[in-house]
Amino acid sequence: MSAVDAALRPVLVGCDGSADARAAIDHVAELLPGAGVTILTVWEPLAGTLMRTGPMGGGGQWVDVEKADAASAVTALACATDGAERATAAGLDARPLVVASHDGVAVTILATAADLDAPLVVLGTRGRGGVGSLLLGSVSQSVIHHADRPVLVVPDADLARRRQERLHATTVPA
Amino acid sequence: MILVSYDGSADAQAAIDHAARLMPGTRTTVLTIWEPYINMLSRTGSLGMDLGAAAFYGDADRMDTASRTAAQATADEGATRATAAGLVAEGRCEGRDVSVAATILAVAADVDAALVVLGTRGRGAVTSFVLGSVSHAVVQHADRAVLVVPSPALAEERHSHLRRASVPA
Repeated sequence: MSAVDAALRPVLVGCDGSADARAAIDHVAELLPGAGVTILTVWEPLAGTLMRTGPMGGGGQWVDVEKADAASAVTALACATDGAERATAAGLDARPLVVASHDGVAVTILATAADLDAPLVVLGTRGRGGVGSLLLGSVSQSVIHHADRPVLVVPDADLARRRQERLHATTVPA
Repeated sequence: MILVSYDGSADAQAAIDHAARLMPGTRTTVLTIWEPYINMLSRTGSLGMDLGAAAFYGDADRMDTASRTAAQATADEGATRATAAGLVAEGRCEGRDVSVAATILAVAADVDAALVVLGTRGRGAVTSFVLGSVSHAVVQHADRAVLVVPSPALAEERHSHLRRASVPA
């Protein structure tokens, strides 16, 4: 492969610190050697989580929202930084980015991609529901369904192996 | 090596252009899938039911040859386009196996593709095999990386939706 187009804006890689995100970073390094990448970790403010999951106003124990959010932001930054370090070690030109989600993780990823004018969004997947499932994770699925730009989905090594076994054993619809 | 699924539609062409811009110089197989006549009859329910179709049974080989030739021409046209866009491409056609998605993934395994590239919402002059349902099935079953490229029209529509969604109320 030849050198990456210098005019190309950095690729956006979603990173949640799981094995699949690491596989996605490694795959980008292989496909687009030397490319600029932004390693994005999205975190959800506690108020949003409570609104979404229901216990808001349910008489639960009060928590220090600011403290919880600060901890989430710090964890997210550590995750993005780890991802960027892995990407740099793999020869990519990487920088970490942390964004708080107010409209859901998928929309936040796509809005960030639009803000950065990223030519590509990259997501890793382990399969929905973790071990045993071969289906795509809900965030990846949602990103593909709403994306206004190309999306690269990278199954982690374990999911790829299990799907390969399945492909040899059965038929794929459509 | 990357594999691009190609049906000759403008949207499939857009997927090739995206791949070329992202990965210039990459070896590429441009794949066009054709459907064997007997396969199409059984899939559409005409097999053994339609006397008009039955009259064509004897011509199945001739029709398959024509389908294969047309598919190879489409694949070669896609490869020419891909090469002009900066990829190092060759065209390949394949008869549809049990499903289009399975055929794409089988060819991807055969050429050991690092990546499968699919356009969405392709509308070819003939039957399109790059429709959303195929992209969905490939992404759900792929044992390797898949690049899904929305058509320019779809991208524009979604872009305006996203802009509205991300504006605080």
